[in-house]
Amino acid sequence: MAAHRELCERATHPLEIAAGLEEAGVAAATAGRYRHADVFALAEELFARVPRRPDESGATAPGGQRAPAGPGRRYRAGRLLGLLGVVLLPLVTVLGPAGGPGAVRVPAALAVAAWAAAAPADWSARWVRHAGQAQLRSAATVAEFRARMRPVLPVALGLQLAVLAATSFAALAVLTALAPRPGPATGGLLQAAVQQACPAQWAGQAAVGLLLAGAAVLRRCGARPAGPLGLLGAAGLGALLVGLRALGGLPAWLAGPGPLTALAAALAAAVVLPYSWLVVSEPVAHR
Amino acid sequence: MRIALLTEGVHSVPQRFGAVRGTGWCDRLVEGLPEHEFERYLLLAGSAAPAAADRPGLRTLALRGPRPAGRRPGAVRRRHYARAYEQLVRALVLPRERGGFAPGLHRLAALAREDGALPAFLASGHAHAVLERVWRSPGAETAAGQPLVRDVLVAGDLLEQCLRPLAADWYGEEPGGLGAVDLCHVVGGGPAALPALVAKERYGVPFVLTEHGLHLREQYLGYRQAPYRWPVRALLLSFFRLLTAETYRQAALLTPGSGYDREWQLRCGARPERVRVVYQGLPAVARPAAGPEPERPTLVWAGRLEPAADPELMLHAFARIRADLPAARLVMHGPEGLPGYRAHCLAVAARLGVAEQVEFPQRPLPAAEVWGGGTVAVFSARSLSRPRPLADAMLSGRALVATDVGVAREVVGPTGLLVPPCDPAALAVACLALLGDEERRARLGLSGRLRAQERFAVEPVTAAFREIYLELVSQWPAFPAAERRPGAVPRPFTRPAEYWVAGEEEPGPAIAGAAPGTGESALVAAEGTAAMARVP
Repeated sequence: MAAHRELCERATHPLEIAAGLEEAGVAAATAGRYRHADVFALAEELFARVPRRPDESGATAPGGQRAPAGPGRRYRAGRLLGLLGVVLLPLVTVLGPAGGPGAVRVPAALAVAAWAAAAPADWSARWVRHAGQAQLRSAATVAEFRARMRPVLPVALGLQLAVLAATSFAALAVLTALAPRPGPATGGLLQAAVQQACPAQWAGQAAVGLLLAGAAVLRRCGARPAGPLGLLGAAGLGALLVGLRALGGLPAWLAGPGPLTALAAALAAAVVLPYSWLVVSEPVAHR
Repeated sequence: MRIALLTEGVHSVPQRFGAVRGTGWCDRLVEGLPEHEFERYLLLAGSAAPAAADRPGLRTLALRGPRPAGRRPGAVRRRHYARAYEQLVRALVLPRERGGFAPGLHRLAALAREDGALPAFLASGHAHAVLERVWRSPGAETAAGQPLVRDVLVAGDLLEQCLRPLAADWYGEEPGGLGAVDLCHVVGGGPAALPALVAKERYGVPFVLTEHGLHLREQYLGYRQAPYRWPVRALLLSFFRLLTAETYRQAALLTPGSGYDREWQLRCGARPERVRVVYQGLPAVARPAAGPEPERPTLVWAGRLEPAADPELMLHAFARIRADLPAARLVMHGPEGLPGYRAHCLAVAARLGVAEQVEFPQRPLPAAEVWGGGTVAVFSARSLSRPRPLADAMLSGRALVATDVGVAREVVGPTGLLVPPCDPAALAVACLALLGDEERRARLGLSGRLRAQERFAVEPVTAAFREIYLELVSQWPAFPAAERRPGAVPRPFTRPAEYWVAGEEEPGPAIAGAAPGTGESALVAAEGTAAMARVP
């Protein structure tokens, strides 16, 4: 019994002990020495006498069945296109009535800032996935897993917004230093930089940041086609709105470049973010 | 007669049994019975898939790899699926509800046959929720730990893979479907028996189960090394155990490959009158006996270098043999079962002082050369679950010493020396007795060769299955599907096998041979019976 203790402690059924005993060279003759008719009877006694013990050693959850095949060319092209479209959204919406080199400057700076924030979005998405894997290793039930994952996505989005605010401010500060806003300078560099963009533009920039973060999370958590689709959807929506404005189908308060960006990005984000929330709270996404 | 041959291409979990098995045996069976029409169904597991998949006339299904594409079921269907799945899982984890296994399985199969959405459902969060709820319910078998979320995911994936045959597009009464065959022949148990179970339930097609090496036993051994936690192992092994028991209960006949496997089958719930041992036919039977013995007394050992085959015992015994017979040599053939085990064996040989007399040929040789190069063949394994290696050695005509485990006693019988396992002194004495007695060696070798030729010839297998097939279809109330009236007593020969081939251009000698009575009249009579049977 001592020799086969580990086998008996880990066994799930007497037949497993019988198979293990036969593999270890215990035949009917040996079982007879212990006053049993055959190996099966001996195995049943061992199963009854040795208590089960959980095996915590080296029991790692193997990675899922998902093939780690690299993304296809179409997927990568779609993602790049979507990223470009969203980042250039402020620029696209400025085309049209309010032309002129001055009007393009601020949206260009915002676009550069959003582009710089794309990489941190990916990092925060990777952090979400990492956190999900860590919780998956220890959580007991799906409900507990969801409860633990609840703060993760908001924190990731907050981080992304902070990074985007920093890059936007830096870009606008550089813009302010290069080409100061006409009129009396009020306050220091900080205020001047913030005032470069109107509130609607800041809101649009925030919506773009949320959209980027949501798409990155979707990409990292397995819902691959959804991320680029969201980005492309936002870009397409922006283009559509610009077209509508050119036809005169938009109310006046929407006609400025800022509200238009904000509307397009926010609509797309309103779809992408709830979806990524659902995806993140599914354990399957983090395998 | 139309016979569906269901095989699993590669063993599932264990790497140690990773070879393609069964297919060669099936080929020989199909060639040996040209009068029957065989339809091959192959479940593929592992990397051998693409090579075997491109053969014509073979329908395959991958048991591993990415999930087959398919839509998820709608809300209403999903509820049906969830209920059937819950019944199945309850049978797996609650000892009191074991009886729900077969009904749950057949309900899932019926649902999968309607829309094929079973794999998609099993991979969805709903199925995981069902699994978790039942698994963590009071009374579940969780003696060694509660299941965690990751266990639910892993077990859900594994169950999805095991249940894939239920969603295959093999069922149906049109030609080529399992509903249109007269008999199913399952080679190797486990998931390969699932289609046969479904066909029996739905169309009343009987099935024979042939097992060379028990599927359940191999799962038990394979899962001991699998990287799964206890609850996952318990759930999956419970699935395999219940599936095996249900298969044995439903099978019209079981044909294990040895009496040793027969004991296991009886233990798992097979009825003795339905078990018939049919030894595996080996084409090596036609091989000529090995030539003259080598000049130096040589012991040959062959097997995988791993603890289960116990090469260490052989080395210890050889050290004792050398003390009495300094000229003796030992040749140990075989690949490494465990990485680094060859070096370990070399170290043991060096410690025992016999390193110069022991050879470890790296190059694999054909069996005839392996055994022909020795004076005595030795098996020191702690377990011998398949007759094939022993039979190979016996066919060479060399005398044999084996440990008395597994199938050794019934295969070797009186034609070789059997010693208790893990006993180097006994093994050494037996080897010395044979090495020192040339006349005895020759006598045992010849009788062993004759015994193996008699037991493992190919023709008796074919003949046995020819009889088994005919016996089964004659006893079986053919096609109760033809009489679906409630309460109808199924009658034998309601729809004889000829009914299904009567429409073809040439009935051929096969049909004439398959049943007595040839010519038009028999066919007309058969059609008439069938037509009458179809009238409600």
